[in-house]
Amino acid sequence: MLALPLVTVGCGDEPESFAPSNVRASANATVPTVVNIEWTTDKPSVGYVSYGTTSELGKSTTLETMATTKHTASLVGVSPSTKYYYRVFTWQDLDTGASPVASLTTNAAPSNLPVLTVTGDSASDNGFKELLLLPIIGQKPLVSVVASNGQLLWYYSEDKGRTVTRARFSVDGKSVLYNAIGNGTAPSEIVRVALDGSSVTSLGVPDLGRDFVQLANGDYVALVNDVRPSGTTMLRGDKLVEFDATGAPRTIVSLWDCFDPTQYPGDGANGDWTGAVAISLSGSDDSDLSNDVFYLSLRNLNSVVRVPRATGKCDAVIGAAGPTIPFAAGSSTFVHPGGIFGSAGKLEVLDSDGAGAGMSRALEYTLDATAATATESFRYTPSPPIHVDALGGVAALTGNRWLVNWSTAGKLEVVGLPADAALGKAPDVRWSLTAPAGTTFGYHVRTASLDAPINEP
Amino acid sequence: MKQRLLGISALATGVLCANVALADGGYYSGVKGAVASGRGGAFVARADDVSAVELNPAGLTHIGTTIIQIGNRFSYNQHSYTRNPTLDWGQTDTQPTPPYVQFPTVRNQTPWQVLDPFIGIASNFGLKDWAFAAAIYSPAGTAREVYPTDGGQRYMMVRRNAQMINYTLSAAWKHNDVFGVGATVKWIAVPSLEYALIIDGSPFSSPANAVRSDVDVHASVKGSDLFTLNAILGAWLRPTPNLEIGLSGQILPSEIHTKSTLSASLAHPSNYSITLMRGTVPANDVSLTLPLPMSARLGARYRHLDGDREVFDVELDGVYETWSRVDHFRLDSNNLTAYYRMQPVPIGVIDIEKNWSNTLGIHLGGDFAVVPQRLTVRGGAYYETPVSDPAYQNIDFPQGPQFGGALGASIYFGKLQISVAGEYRAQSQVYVADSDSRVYQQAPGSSCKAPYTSTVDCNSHYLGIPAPPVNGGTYNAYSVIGTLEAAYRF
Repeated sequence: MLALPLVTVGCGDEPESFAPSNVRASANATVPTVVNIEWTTDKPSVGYVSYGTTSELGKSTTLETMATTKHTASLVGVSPSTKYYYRVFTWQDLDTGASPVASLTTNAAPSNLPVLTVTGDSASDNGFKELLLLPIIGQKPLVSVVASNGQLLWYYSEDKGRTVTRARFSVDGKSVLYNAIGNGTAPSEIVRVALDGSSVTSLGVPDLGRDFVQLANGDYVALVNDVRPSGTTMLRGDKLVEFDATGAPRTIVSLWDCFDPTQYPGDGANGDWTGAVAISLSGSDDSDLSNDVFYLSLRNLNSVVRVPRATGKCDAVIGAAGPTIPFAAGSSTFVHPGGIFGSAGKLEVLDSDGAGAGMSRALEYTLDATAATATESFRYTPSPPIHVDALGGVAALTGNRWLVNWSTAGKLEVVGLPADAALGKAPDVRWSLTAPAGTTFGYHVRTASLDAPINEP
Repeated sequence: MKQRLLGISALATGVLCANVALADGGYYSGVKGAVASGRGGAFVARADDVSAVELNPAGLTHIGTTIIQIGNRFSYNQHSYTRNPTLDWGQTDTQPTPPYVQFPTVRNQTPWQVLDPFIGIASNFGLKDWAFAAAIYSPAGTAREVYPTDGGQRYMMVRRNAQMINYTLSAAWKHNDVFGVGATVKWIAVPSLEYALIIDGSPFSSPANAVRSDVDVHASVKGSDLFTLNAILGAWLRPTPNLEIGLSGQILPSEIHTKSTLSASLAHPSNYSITLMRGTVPANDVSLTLPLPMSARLGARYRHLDGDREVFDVELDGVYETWSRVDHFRLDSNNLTAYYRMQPVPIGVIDIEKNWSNTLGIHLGGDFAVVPQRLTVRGGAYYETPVSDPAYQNIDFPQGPQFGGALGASIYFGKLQISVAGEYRAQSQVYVADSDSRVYQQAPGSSCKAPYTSTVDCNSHYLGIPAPPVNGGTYNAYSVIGTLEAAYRF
């Protein structure tokens, strides 16, 4: 008999591995809340990182656009002191690679961050569930991205002691921009910090004011002090200046060309005449900037002025300085406007002093171009009262809600009304974020996520 | 347009399979007959029962009497496939990054095959140097495989069912005990041949739905071919009493041509349907062509004799099969057009590239008469080279290197011989990287044409190829085979 043993051993090809190798995670040196993931692949590939607070992951970085063998990706918007799981995926020719699931714990929040207290609904659109890009001016200015639950997701410390009043996302969605108003030792600049912490650049803007915007083509438009003689004194007016990519300035308009200080002296102190404090940009489109319209909040003139970029003229005034769009009968007027949001049909104003001494309020007007009237459509005066010395803002959200920034009071609120509520009805406070006394919030923008953030008022 | 049709016709692709002849790899798996199986297929030189009609008809002259042989082959055929993970670029319209998708291992859901008969009779009709035989049998193989319609393999195949029956007539003549020759005429009937797979019916240009499409189409071809002719010639030579050499070959380059029907329906719930037309008349008849290999078998065995009695033997066979004939599966729709959402998609003639290779199998086996005229035991082992490059690996047939071993025995009760065999047959694990893959998703609506480099018509992630590769992954296959057979000699 011949008995041959049964062969049970396979001898085929072993599966090749396309897994990314040398995967490393580290905190970014510039933005400590950002986690940088690095890895390598044998062949040029593109990849991304999925991550989350459970091993199910759930979020992803953007896919690399260029094939390479040395890769980096950044986890932006992660919570401090939190364990995250992450995994790298690659696409190499037609093969897909994946690293094992690994984990890391993110850095703690900065010690100079004021304690932020959230009340109300921070998880739905009935309350507030978006992210806020918000300068926090406490012991040390901090440009931050705060989640609706009060968690700090991103921050950058302005460590030259300059004043920061405004932060916005860059139009390409990759950076945070903020104004750093010089303090005698450090110049005024618009600072650009990459969200992933990969770079910090700046554009010098002498006499930079409290607000700026970035046009869809990437140019900046900023408020700049414009000091001129008036009679025997020097008055500090403002102008709107556009800076192209090289930093070359072009004045769009000077408020000296719109108002006469003898006719509209304003109520500013110490030679502070127009007191332009805020800009709202409407209609910017990267293929056509001709529709760009600026609304400027002139605190000391108790007015809002409209300036089309194309004409560089103050073509409309709402408020005390010679209004071309007067308030409709019965509508509230504002005194010392702070942050504004203007568009063709709406104007929202944080009214610092119009409600009476020590009382600020949020106002909204419907603008009727035909009838040339501003009709009050929303009014919110908190009780107990809140007073805002400067800055602040109000903007309508979906669902008959408004986001109000009580800046110097260190408070943000989302309030809401029933759809058919009468003017003046006290809205419900749906959500609030409060910082300790002494904390000031700069002008905010909101965004749904940090993946491709946009500037919503 | 040919490319478009590939889709619907891809059904054709695997269609032709079945369990065929007593052959080895390719469409087949192993041999028929308990004795041949128990020797690991090393039976060309011995060929002394009715299964010789397939393996070497000249061996029928060894029978020397009249024999009725009835047997059945039972098998458990487990084939599995784990598709490589991929990035689902089809989802990037709704997600910023392509999801990483892993696929669970899929397995043949119908592994048991219990009816696989062999019935034959052989007789010399009293003529000392002659033998004649007739046999009916299904070829050795896995007739049916079913996989999940949502499994990772679904763009290759979801179902194959091929029933084949061979009807053979044989005659053989010998000169003393020195040499013999024989021939078998074989009528191959295919009463049922079905093959189904999922194709991407997306009517949009440059689809890249490697994981799922909302317009996945379940496409199926069903048909039959009741008459295909083939022939086998064989010879043996015994130069000395202890040495015997056998040689046989299937010599006709035949093909199976089925008359089939094509059906196509959306795999997911939809408000749309697919209509097949020829001209202005609804029609669904197609024809499918499946090449059959030619083969050559050469075996030599040593017979250890005690007087005239054979105590044991050892046989070494080589089997060469021309599977390179299977370079394509060909589906001719005879000018059918598929209409989906009012868009005509001419089907035409579709050649499904298989690129199979000729194979060589080595079989070693033998018998040992433990108790003369009462009990014989046997064993064997074999190795067969792969039938295709891994790039063309498909779930429809195990195409990698095959190896196996077998044990068997025969018990004699006077003129009655009861034989059993147990065989384990396995494929060496085959892995295919997606970048090596040459089996692509069928996407008949795609406007991406050869050389598939248009950045307008082709998806940027799959430039240079017609569609996402769908056969990347890990393949395993094994069969556990048992054969029970009775032979009665008059």
